[in-house]
Amino acid sequence: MLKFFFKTIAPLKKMSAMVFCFFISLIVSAQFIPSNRSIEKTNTLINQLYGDDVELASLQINSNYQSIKRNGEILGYSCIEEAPSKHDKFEFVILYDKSLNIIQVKVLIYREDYGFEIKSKRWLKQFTSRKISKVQAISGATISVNSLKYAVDRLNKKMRDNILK
Amino acid sequence: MKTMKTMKRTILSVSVIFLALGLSAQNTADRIIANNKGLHIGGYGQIDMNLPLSDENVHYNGKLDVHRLVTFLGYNFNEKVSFVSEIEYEHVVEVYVEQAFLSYRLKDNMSVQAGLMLIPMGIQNLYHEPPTFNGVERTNVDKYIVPTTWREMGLGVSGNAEGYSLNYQIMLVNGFNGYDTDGGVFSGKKGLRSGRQKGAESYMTKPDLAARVSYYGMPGWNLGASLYKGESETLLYNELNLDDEAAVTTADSSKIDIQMIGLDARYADGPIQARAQYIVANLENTTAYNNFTGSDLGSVMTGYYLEGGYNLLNNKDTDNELIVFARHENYNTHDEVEEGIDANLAYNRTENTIGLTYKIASGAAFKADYQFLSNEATDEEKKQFNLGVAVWF
Repeated sequence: MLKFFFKTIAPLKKMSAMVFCFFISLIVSAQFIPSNRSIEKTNTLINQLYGDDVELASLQINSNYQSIKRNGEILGYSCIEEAPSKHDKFEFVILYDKSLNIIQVKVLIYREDYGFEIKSKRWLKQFTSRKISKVQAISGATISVNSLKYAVDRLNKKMRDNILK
Repeated sequence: MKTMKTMKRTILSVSVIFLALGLSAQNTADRIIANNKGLHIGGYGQIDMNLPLSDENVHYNGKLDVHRLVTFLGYNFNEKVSFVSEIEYEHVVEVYVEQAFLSYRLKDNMSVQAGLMLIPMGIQNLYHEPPTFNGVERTNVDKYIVPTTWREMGLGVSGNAEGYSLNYQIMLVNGFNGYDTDGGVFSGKKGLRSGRQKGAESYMTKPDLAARVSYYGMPGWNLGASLYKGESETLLYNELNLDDEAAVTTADSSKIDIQMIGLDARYADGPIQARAQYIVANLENTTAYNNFTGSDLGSVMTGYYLEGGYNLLNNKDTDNELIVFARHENYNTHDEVEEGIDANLAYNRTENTIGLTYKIASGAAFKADYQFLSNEATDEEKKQFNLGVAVWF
């Protein structure tokens, strides 16, 4: 009986382990793929800010994050990320200067009828001047506001950990 | 020997668990890769208890009700095409479809919709999920003047003018049912409320217009203006012989013209939150309508409310909110009446509410409030205590 178990289970175990590793690697590597419109809008934004003679290179931590350089000198970073709204997800970009101060946050794609107010430029400007915890609420958009605040905070930390250390 | 067997079993079950984990994770990953394609499930609920306070010599029973339970099902076919539906159970036994429309994104900031849609009038008809408003029950301006949840069949365009921080919605929908086999549907007390067709074998002669713009360019503020314009529907227009002048005149007196305008404002800053809304409905042809149907419909209906709230947990180390609020509300379905009927002062109703909303999660709250209800016909003031559970997920 035991022999039978050993024979059948041992390979099964190996297989499940392999399958498991495969899936884990899938999840870990599965960063989201921004839509083309998001990428186009981000490039336009970078060109408006820095001109079109800058070089962009993906960062190792995430290919949606890129450094902005001119003549080899780093000017800043742009990071496209996504965050949940009520029933869907929206895409946004953060532009950092070289010391990782936020220059601009822009909502690139918003897919829901709820919470669209977070696209407001004046509201988004607060991320450049205030602590995240001090960013004002918006009536009727609480969920998306909190979601974006959380996502910006997480991205800030991630960038600090990987760039400034 | 025995221990080895157990060990193997453990290893096996652990592998199976991991495998299952891996499989479910694959779905998540797949969804991420497919860029939001897929099913979205959600819902909201309002469960409440209304306890009218008894007078000296009259006793009232309390009411406990699963007032509404709504399931949201949405499906994204791709980046541009999505379907939204909401199925509602009201008072446990009534079933309605609250929304059912297909949306097609024409471009980044603009999409078209077709199907059963919410009429964009005021705050609560659009944002009627219980955790989004204070008070156990919805405001009555949004029941008797704006017949929330007001939804009709039609075609719409909505979008954002981002440079101006404006959101807009325009739609063509069927009108209210104002006259059917049971006679006149509108009334002085309930206004247009009973005329909602709700997508259930609705009928129309020509579409009405509904539109709304909201401005969100000032941090903290959300300002809205809404318009509804059209004619009510009447069954007498069906199979109407246009050469029969008497029949045409009769049919014409079974419908009314409706123009409704709404202005609203919401404000939030730190612990402070406030909202205000004003709605006016101008109804024409009510003399003919009332004479023909024997109804007592007013020609102008108005309603407004002002509400202020303060979150007592604002600077505490918690995401929960404990909002204490006060609201003053007035609505009058007989603000003006045309010849033939007298304004009924009992239809000029005032409600003052104080209460608490305890948000224990972003989509879940316990609510309690105390209402002072009065009308112009009497000096008596009724009082009611309400308790409620509000969820939205």
